[in-house]
Amino acid sequence: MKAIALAMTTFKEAIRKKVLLVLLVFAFIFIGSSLLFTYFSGGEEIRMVKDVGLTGMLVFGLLIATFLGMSLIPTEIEKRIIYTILSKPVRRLEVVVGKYLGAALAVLLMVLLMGLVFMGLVFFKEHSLAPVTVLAIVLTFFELLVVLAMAVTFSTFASTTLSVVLTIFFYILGSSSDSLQYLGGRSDSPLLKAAVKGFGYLIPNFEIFNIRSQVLHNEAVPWVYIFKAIIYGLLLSAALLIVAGMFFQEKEV
Amino acid sequence: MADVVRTEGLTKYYLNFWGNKAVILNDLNISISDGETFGFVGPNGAGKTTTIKLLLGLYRPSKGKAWIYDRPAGDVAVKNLIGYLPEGPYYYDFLTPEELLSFYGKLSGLDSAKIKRRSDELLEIVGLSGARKLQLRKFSKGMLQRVGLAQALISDPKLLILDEPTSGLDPLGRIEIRDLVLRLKKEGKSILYCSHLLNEVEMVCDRVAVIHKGNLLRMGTMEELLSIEGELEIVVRGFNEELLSRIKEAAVNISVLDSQEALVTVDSRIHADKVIDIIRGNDNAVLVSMADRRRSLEDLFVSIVKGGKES
Repeated sequence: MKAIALAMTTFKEAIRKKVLLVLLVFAFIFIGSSLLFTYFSGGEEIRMVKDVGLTGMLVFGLLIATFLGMSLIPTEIEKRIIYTILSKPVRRLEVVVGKYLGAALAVLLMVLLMGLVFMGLVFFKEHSLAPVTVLAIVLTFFELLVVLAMAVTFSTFASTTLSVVLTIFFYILGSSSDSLQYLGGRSDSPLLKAAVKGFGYLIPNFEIFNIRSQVLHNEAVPWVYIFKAIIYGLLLSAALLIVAGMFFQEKEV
Repeated sequence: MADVVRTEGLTKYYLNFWGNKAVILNDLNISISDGETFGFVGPNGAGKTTTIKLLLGLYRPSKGKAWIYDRPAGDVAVKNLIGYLPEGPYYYDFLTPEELLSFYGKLSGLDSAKIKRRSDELLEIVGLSGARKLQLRKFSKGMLQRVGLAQALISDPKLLILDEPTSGLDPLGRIEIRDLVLRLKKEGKSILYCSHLLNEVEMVCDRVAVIHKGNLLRMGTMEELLSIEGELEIVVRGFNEELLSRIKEAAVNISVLDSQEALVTVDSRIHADKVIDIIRGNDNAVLVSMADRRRSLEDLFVSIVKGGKES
């Protein structure tokens, strides 16, 4: 209940941020710009629309999630709202979770809006909408949930700038973890093999959420896979939030 | 009665890069009993806010301990007994007072019916019933401070911690807040009142601690701190020149208050006796009052802070 109250206020606060509106407008322009690529042949063109659209949603979603996540708790401290919040019988972990849920709701709204524009474009071009396209948007949302949790966690012990850098760094690392594992697996050195494997467990694997090539080729993705990816995203976010709660617990505000 | 607030050797310092200590609060021992209004005074940066943050568990002490209602400071379980008004607070300015109180009510674990009842009551008390649907961004500083007080009171706490409750307010706003505090005091709340506005503390508080550069310099009841050892003030009505000149021999100072009354200051009980005898021996003169001479808290404060540790 307390977390819900925090979430609702955080959501209301988040959607009032002008930066979010600006990012959203840019996302619309970016996703819509795929309409300009009319010089490709029919099949190519629709793939272009999907590729640009999904990439746009992901990139702008990343910006939104990172921006929201990194400022979630530091802003409360800066504006001294945290004093009155923590003077009430609220656990610090509840504050982290509540604020996170509010921001997650804002991210959901942004993904929905971008997703609607994107799906509208695809439908306009293809006169149909494959379920896999919708599922790609769903997975993007869960991917952004992890990014949001990452940004929140870093912000509990690092400065704002460092939080952004760390979030982006780990995102890039996590997005290439499959390639890293592949390269590591081919290495002759058993030490390097083990190191890369161990590293793989520590870094979130963002490639799990990536079903873009299936969308481009209209291939179906098994429900089990989608389900597993969602669970993975939720568990990872929860684990990150617990870490964030631990750091925040120790913090003097 | 158990202490509402108690600290034992409460200390907060920071170590800088070179390992040097910057002491913010040094070995603070205070206790506040039930129903007491305790003034915590000191110049800006004296350690008042640090103490509050230690009491609320926002900071961890470097040394020493603090308890609120016999639970360690920062314990979530006692937080519903505490109402806190921070200095120069900010609230979500897109909310209305009603929404804000509902938010803090939920954080306090109250159900919606209780929140509704409490916030109606509180908005009435702080005089914001007319502005309940107005966004806080449109509020003046005084109004924000009153919302803050309402927020602090939402769970009907027994202890109020007020940090500079009247800072930045105009004289009228100050009087309003002060009257509210006096009203809460009458209701039996225990209050920790931090301020550097001494005349306010003098009007509101039962007991005062003077803190400067992290050190507790003096603590005591208003009476103990402000009465000047041995000096008495006698008010006499119906005096004439002859009487005054006789009193003058025993008095330290005489000031004529109006055509009827004069204020006589004496430095000992013996001299007070003499003055009273003189007054009694005069048919026209009446003894109106006699009391220990008091100085203002401001006088005391200046003498303490300038003179370091006074006896």
